[in-house]
Amino acid sequence: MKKKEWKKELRQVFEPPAPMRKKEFIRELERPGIGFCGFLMIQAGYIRKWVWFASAFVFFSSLVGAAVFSADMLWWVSAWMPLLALTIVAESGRSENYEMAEMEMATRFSLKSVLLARLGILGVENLLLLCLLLPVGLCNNLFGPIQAGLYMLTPFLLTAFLGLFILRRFRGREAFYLCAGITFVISLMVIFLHDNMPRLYGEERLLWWAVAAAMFGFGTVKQYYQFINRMEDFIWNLS
Amino acid sequence: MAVNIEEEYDKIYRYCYFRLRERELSEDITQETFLRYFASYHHTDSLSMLKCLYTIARNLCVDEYRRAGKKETGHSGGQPLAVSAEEQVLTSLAVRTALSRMEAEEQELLLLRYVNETPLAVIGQIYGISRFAVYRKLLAVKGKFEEELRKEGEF
Repeated sequence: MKKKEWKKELRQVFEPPAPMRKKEFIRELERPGIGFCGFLMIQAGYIRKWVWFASAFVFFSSLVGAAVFSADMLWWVSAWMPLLALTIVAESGRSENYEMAEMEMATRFSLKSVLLARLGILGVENLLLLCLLLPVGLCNNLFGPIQAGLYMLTPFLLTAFLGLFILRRFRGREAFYLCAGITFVISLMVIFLHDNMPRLYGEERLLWWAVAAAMFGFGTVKQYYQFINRMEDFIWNLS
Repeated sequence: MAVNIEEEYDKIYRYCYFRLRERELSEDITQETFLRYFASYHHTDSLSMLKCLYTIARNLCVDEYRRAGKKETGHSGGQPLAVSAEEQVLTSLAVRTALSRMEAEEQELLLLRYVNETPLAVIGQIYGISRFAVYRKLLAVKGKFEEELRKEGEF
């Protein structure tokens, strides 16, 4: 007798009499679904640790700089803002970076809902961080809250806009490396402009900053919309 | 990977029947297992769910032994598990005899791994041992079972 055969025989030996109440029981069995908060909690657990560490680093280093060293931390915060934007962009393109998008579409939760949940979590987290960093950025300088807010928000939105633009046009790790490069360049640009072109940060240029922030904000929303729509095309192509 | 409840119901029922040998009681325990699981746990992965289901079922069976003052026996060669006459004809007598010479825990291992196709990690959780220990134990049990089959002239 071969192994395959004794396994078959074993199955017959262990076979119990047919259950009598199986169908009714399964029909009436109330299986709890996952609530919205439960779903968000699960998704928050899948966000990579470096994303949380990056936020914590930006917050605590700014806080220490402003409170302990009495330094003007607005430029420090502003220079690190692109990194926060990169965390969102990197999370958005994670499935494609690892070429798992097609597989994730066949899972219990759709890729689109997973993506929206993670973007929502990171969006709220970054918004809270921005609100917390604004008072820190106002310490030890003469800028008002709107001015400081614009100097922080503009590099963030520019990175998010360009990152998503790249994510839509390139696939795999190539896209992530390009986004990381752009983040680095924008961060350096913030420091360079602050040190070498102080006129750009005068009150008379505030309107330009507001227009730039609005444009990049609009561009980011548009890119996100197209990025999510592309997911639907993916599903259509696969079906 | 999603869990097929109907399929798991059959497997848990088979496991309970192996331990209790009473159709009604086994089905009651199977249903109680699922009710308790869904009342207390919300796993999204199949491995955690199976670990919980088998642990609950095993504990309920042990409670039942204690309540009725029974002793765990395992499968005996003289009393077939299957009731159908057709199955009795089809089932090799050698397999039954070999199985009856195995310990109750060894029979349970054979049932879990080769009939219910339970993952090693889940079996490890049931016995409170590592996957590697389960693997070694299974190798030994399989060897003994094949040896018994050989004695019966069937291997």
